[in-house]
Amino acid sequence: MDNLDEKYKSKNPFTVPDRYFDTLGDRVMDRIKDEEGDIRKTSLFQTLKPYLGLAGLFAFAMIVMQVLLPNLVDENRMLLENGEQANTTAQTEDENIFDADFNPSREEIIEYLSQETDPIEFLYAERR
Amino acid sequence: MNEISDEDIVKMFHSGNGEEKAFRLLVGKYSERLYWHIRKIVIGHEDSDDVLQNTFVKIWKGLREFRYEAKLFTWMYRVATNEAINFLSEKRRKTYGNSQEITPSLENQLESDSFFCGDSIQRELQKAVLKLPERQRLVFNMKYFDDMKYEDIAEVLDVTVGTLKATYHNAVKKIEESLKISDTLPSFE
Repeated sequence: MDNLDEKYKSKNPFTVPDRYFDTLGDRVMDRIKDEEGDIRKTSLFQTLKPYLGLAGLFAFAMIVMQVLLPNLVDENRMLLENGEQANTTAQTEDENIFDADFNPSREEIIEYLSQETDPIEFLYAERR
Repeated sequence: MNEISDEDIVKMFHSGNGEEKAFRLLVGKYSERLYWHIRKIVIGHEDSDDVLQNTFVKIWKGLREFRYEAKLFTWMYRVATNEAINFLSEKRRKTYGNSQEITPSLENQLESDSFFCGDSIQRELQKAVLKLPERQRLVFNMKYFDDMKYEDIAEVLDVTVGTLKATYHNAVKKIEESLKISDTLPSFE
């Protein structure tokens, strides 16, 4: 009777490529060094990440201020100047609505208010 | 030349300036035994190589905290076993979405493995082992092929020796049934 215990235990049916075990130590150490290098890089980045974020935000804010602020100031100045000019013009126009010698009497005003006609037309019609 | 002891390797590793040298000694001392253990679980050489390298990376990281709560060798065996089992679970999830057994895939791999040089009976024996439930398969491999003591296997798998003996007995019976040559397999026990 075959002694299968000896026959199948003693002979390993699996094989490996030539010199597989000779080079294993180097490959394992390379892999460990790679992984530890990655961890160091990652942890340095993780440590600096909040500060980098803040610095980035600050830089962005500075750039935005540098670019937009002068334009805003100019625009405001222009608006202000235009506004003053517009006010002056409007005031002048308002003053020109009436003739200097147009001075309606009390009766004319009451009559105007009691009629439903176009006020300007009425007033000028009266004068004509 | 006397082989350096596990204790001396661990001391050298912990000494601070001999980490790499100590680790290379450890790889040289145990890589073959761990490889063959992994190979019988995951079958393919490429997969075994991946799992073995992952195992040694974990051992490198764990060795810094290793304080002999278990024997160094059984601890390394446990790391290798867990890595191999996790690898198979991940492979099953990727291939079948966890819905099927991984055994047919491993049997196919065994059939097409260019690094398998056994005869037809050895191939059938390996296939019969692959059909065992995972725990029985691990116990059978460690006891039958790796010739480990029950006490060491118990430490690796974290079970009692009594449970292991029963598990091994059941595994042997299933293999004998699977091979249908139980009368020619008298010395498994």
